[in-house]
Amino acid sequence: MSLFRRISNLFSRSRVDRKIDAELRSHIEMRVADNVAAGMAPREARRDAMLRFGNLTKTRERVNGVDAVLAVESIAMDARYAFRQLARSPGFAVATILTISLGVGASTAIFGVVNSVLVRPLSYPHAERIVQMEKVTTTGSSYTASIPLFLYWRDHSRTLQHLGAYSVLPVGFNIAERGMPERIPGLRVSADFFRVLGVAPQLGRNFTTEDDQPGSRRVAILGESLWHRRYNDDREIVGKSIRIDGEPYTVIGVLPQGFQFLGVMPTSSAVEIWTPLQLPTTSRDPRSVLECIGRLNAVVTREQAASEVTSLSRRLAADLPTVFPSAGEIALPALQQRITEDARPILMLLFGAVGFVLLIVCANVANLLLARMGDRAGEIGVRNALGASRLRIIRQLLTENLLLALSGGALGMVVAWLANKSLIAAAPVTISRFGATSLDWRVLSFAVGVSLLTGILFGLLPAVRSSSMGGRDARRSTSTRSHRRVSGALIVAETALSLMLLFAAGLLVASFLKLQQLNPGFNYNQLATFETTLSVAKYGSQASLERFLEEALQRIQRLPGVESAASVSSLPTEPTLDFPFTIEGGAIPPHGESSGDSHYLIVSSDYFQTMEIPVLKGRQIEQSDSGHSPGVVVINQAMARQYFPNENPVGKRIVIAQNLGPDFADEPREIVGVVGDAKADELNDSAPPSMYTPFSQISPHLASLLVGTIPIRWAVRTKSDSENLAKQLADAMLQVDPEQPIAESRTMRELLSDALGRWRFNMLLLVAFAGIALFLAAVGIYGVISYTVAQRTHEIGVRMALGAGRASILRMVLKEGGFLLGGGTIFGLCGITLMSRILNEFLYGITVGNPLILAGVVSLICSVGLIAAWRPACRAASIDPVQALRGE
Amino acid sequence: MAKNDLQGALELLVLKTLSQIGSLHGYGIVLHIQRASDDLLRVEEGSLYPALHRMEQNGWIRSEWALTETNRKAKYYELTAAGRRQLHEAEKNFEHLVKGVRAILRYA
Repeated sequence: MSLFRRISNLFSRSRVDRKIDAELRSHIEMRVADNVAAGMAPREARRDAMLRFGNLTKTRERVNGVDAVLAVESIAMDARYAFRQLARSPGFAVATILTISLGVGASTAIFGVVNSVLVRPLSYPHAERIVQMEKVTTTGSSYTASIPLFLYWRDHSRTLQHLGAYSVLPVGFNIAERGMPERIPGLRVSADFFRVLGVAPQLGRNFTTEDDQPGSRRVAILGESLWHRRYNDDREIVGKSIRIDGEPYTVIGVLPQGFQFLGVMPTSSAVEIWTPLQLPTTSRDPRSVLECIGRLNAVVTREQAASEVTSLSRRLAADLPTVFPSAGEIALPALQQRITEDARPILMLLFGAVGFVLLIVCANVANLLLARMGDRAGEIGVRNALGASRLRIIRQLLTENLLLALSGGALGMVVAWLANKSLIAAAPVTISRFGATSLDWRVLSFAVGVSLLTGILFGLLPAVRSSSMGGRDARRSTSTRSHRRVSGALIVAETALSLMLLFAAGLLVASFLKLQQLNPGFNYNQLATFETTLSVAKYGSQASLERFLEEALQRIQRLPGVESAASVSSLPTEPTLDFPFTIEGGAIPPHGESSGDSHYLIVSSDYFQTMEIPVLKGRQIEQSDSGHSPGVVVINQAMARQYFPNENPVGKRIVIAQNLGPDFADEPREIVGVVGDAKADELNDSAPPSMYTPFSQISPHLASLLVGTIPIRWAVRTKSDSENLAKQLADAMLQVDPEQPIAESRTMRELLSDALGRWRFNMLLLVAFAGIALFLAAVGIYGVISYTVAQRTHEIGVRMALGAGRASILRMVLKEGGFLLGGGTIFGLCGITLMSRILNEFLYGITVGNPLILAGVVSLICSVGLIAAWRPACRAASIDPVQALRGE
Repeated sequence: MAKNDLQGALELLVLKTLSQIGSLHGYGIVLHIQRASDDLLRVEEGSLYPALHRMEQNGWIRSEWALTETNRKAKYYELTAAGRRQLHEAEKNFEHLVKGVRAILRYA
C-alpha cells in the first residue's frame, strides 16, 4: 500500500472500515453459498458460516488496527531512520539545508513583495469590482477624462453602481490653527468617490450630491491620522468649522483608521483632507482633468460595463462634436492594476532573477543528493538485495529529502523575514503598497511549495536512480559515470544561469554608475529645496504673488549661511508644464498650429545663479525685467539647437501659448539669453527644450492658475551642507505670512537620490542575486569536482603509478572544471541573447551588446569556477598512489 | 534462526498458496489450505484477514477487488516479487525448523 494511501487511510477511517467490512462479508457469503450448495437449509447455512468465522466485529477491529498502526509506525520509522542517516553526515545535511534556505529565503522575500504589491487585493470591500476608466486611442491610452465626459457617464451608466472622480492635480491644504502652520496633502473628489471604494466615514457622514453642487458651502472629510494628530481625536469635530487656506470649512466626517487611497499620489503624501469637486454641470471643458473610478454592479462583467461606457462616450461625442471631435474606446482595468502598473516591470525583473537563483539552488541540491546517493550506493544495494522493494527505498530516500526540504524551508522563512526588512528599507518611494509587505498565507504556502519543490522534485531523480542500483552494480563504474554526466549537466546549467544573472547585474551597475555621474546641468551640492502651496484668495493675483515671492526671497537671502535663493514653478526631476510657442517670422510645421512645444518654467530673477546653470549667450533674467518692461524669455541649449539651428536665437521673438485661448494669451517676448541644459522629469532622458520667463511677467490668469494648481518650489544655495536650515526657512516664511507653511523640505541631493531610487533598488537586488548565484555555482563546481576526484582516487593512483606527474593530474582535473565552465558559458551567452530585449528596458547609457561587461563577467565566472576546482585538483595531485591502490 | 511462531506458519501457508494458485480471495485461501492438507490444517478464518493485511503492508502481496465465478465481489490477493523472495526465505526457515524439531525429537 502506498505511503499516501496509508496516510489518507488515517483520515478516512469510515471508508477503510467499509472496505474491510465488505471483504469479510464476501467471505461469509461465499461460505453460506457453498453450505447451501452442499444441501443445508439457508438459515442453518448462515449459522454455520458465522460460527466458523468467529467474532466478526473483533476481526474487523484487528484488521483495522493492522492498517492504521502500521501506517503510523512505518512513517515514524522512516523519519527516525532519516534523522540518523542525516546526523551521520552532518556536512551534507548542513550544506543542503543552507542551500535550500537560501533559495527559499530569496524567492519568498521577493514573492512577499510581489504578493503585497501586485497580488493581494486592495483593502476595500469587493475591490475586484472597482474599475478605472481608461481612454484607449490609436496613439496610446490615458487614465484621465474631461468633466463633461465624467458627468455624462455618471448620469447615464447602468452597469456601474457608483461612479466617482478625483482631480488629477494633487492639492495641498494649509492649516494654520491649533499648532504650527502645516501643509496637508488633499484631494478633491466627487460625491460618490467613497461609495465607489465602499468606505464610509467612522464619524459623521459621507459627501452628498448637495455637497458636490457648485456654490454650496465648503465641507471637508478628514483622514484619521490628521484628526488624531491635529485635533486630538476630538469626537465633537463633526459639524465644527476649521480654517483651511484661511477659509472656513465644515468638517462633516472622519475616515476610518488605515484608510488609504493610492491613486495618483506617491505613498509619501497620504491624503488627509478630502473636499468635494463641485463640478459645474454645464461645463464644456474638453481638458482631461479628472481620473474616474467606478464600482461595477454585482452581476455586470468588466467587458459589459466597458462597452456601455464606450457607447456613452460615443453618444456624447455625437451630441457635442465641437467639444469632442472623436471618442475612443474606454477600457475598464481594475483599479488595482492602475495602482500597481508602475511597479510591475521592476518586480517581474526581480521575480525572474530570483527564479534563476532558485533554479541554481535546485541544481545544487540535486547535485548534493546525487553525490550522497553515490556514497550510499553500497547501503542501498544491500537493502535492495535483502528484499526491500524499489518503492520502499524511494520512500525512505524521499522521507530523508522531505526532512531536508522542510528544515531548509523553515530556515528559509527566517532568511525571507530578514531579507524582507532590508527590502522595505531599500525600496524606492515610487512603488506604492511596498511598505505594507507582510507574510500572509499566500507567502507561506509559496515558501512551503518552493521548499517541497526543491527538496522533493529534485530529490526524486537521484532517489529513483539509486533505488534501481542492484547490489552488484552499486559499486560499478557505469553508474558513477552516468552520475557524473548528470551532475556535469547540472553544473553547466548552473554556470549558464549565473552568467546571465551576473551579466544583467553588471549592466545595471554600469547604468547606475552612468546615471550617478551624469551631469544634471546644475550644481546639486549645497542646495536646499522646499515647496509652498499658496492660497488663491491671498496670492491668486499676479501682483500679490510677485510681492510675496520677492519679500520671502529677500528674507531667505538674509539668513546666515544662505548665498542666494530663487523660486520656480518646477525643480529638476519634477514633472513640468509643456506649452506651445511660435517663433515670430519662423516657419510653422505642416499640420501644426505653433512652432513647437517646450517645457515652460517660471522663475524668479536669481534662478540661474542659484542653480548654477551657466548662461551661454546673452544674459539671464534680471530684477529689472518687471511687469512694466518688455517681455523677455530665456531658452536652454536644447531649444536653441532644435529650433534655431545655425543662428543666434538671442534677439529673436517668440509668442508663448498663442493658440491656447484668451486666458493664456501672451505678448511676444524677446529671447534675451541661452542657458545650459538642466535635466528635467526623468534623469535618464536628455534635457528637453525649455523656456524660462520671470514671475513678474506672467499673465494674471496664468498667475492664478499657477497658484491654484501647483505648489511653488524654492531653491536655496547655501555656503555649507547645513542640516537645520529647514527650521530657519520655515520661520522666514512665517515672518512673511504667519499662516504660510513650507513642505517637502529636502536637499537637491536627496531629490536626485530619490529619482535614482528605482535604479539603485534594481541594481542592488540584482547584484545580490548574482552574488548568491556565483557563490552557489562555485560551491556546486567544488562539490562535483571533489566528488569525481574521490571517485577516481583509484584511477588517479594507477595513472601515477604508471608515471603520470602531479602537474598532469592537476591539469586533468582542472580541465574537467574548465570543460564544465566552458559549456556553461556557451549556454549562458545563448541565454543572454534571448533575454537582451527584456533587459534593454532597464538600462541607461549602455547596451546589452557591451563587450567590456560581457568579457568581465565571463572572466569573473571562469576564474571563480577555476578557483573552486583548484582545491580538489590539488587534492587529486597530492594523492599517494600507494595509499590509493591499497585502499582498494 | 527465523521467527518460528504460528504467525510465521500462517504466512508461509498463505504465500505458498498464492504462489501455486496465483490470485485468490481469503475464502479461497482457507478452502485451498484445508483441501491441500487433506483437512489436516484448518485456518482460523478470523485471524486470516489481519495476517493478509499485514502481509500486504509489508509489500509481499497486493490486492485487487474482482468478481468471483458466481459474480460476487471479492478482494483477490496475489504475490509480489518481494513476496516471492519472502516465500523462499520462509520455506528455508521452515525447513530449518522442521529439521531442528526432528533432531530434538530423535534425541529425546
